[in-house]
Amino acid sequence: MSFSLILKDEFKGFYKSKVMIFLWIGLPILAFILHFFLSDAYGTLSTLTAVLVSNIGGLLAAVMLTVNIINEKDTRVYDLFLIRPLKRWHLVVSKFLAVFICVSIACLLAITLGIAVDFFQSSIPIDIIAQNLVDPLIMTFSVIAISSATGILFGVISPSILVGVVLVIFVGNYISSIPSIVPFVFDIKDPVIYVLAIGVIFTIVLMSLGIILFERKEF
Amino acid sequence: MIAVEVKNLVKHYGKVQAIRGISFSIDSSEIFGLIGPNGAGKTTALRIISTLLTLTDGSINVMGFDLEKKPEEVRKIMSYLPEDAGAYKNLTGKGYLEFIANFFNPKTVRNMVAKGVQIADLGERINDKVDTYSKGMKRRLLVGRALMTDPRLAILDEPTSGLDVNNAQEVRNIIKSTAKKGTTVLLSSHNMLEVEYMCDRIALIDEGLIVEKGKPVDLMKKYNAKNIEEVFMKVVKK
Repeated sequence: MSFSLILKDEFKGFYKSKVMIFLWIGLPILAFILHFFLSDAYGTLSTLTAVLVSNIGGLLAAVMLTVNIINEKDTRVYDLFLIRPLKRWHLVVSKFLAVFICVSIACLLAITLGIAVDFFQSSIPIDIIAQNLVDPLIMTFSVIAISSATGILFGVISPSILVGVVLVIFVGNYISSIPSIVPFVFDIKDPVIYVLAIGVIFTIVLMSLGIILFERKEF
Repeated sequence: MIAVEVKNLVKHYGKVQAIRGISFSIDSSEIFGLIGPNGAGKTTALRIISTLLTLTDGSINVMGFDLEKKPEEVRKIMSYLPEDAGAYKNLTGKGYLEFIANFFNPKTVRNMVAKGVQIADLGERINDKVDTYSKGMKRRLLVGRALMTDPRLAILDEPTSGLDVNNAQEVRNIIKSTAKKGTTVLLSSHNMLEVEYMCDRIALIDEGLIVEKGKPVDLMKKYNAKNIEEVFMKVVKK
């Protein structure tokens, strides 16, 4: 009961936040512009769009989470939850899920729009476009998941918003770009499994660290 | 019946000794005040009893539950009003009370919210966003939030902080009537005249130690003082 309440509240808070509104509108526009001006070569553009929107979305997701957690620590919002008999990890996981789902939907919209432009602009068959959609989507979700997890971790450990944002930009951004770099660096033929595995493992490790530190934190 | 028993409570933040071994007990339905200047250790003590901070040494028993062993049970029966708590700014005052009430028994939500609205007494403004509230209005909303649940133990850190004279007086009356209905109240304040009016018993705390405790009237007699402020000055100078 308490988890669903907190999750619902986090969704309410995030989906209409200024950053999310920018993502809801900005990412599809970006994808549209990319596909309108560049020509696709059987999915290359979809991948490029996915890399771009996932990195922008991921970075903003991480910043949003870090700033939100530090703000709530500073304004002692957690006091009101932590004195109730609820699990501390519910607070962290609900934030992660809310941001991950919102940003993923925004990126999905952007990539879908790009694909639609591809379809109407070129002679590429829809089944090939659909096949080429799987890899970029998995990479996008992996990047966003890792970014959101780094946002949680840096939000928990950072003493101030400045430190948190600096950590996200100069450390989190590199960690979260790993899934999108691996296929290019190692020239893997079927990278989707690796990308998915990296996304899941990194997210679990970072989230576990964030949860453990949040559980031990004295407010 | 003893509602809260604190024995030799010690709290260190690294090398800083915030609380250096304090003991006190609170009877059921009593209003007990922890009084002292800023930095004396009042808030730390309240946050430990509220289960927000862990204790370094000592023991605390709340309504028969050992705080260290059964924090979940303690959380079920108490309510805490932090000195500078934040309310969710994106909610309306009423929405905020509903949000908090939903963490309790779903059948009691309506009554709880009605009580919170009544205590907060913000009129039509209860339907406005918390973001638009003045400091005093936010405080009243939070007092409503803390007391609407009919807690067995209410821990109130500087409950009238930031309120004007009228609002402060109203909040004091609410706290007194809440205690009369059976809630045990532990509050802190650096306003010694205020606690003289509200508290059944008080403990004067300074530099992490309780330097004196008892009924305000008895302490004033003992130190031949006109008010608790004078008592405190005399005790600290000793």
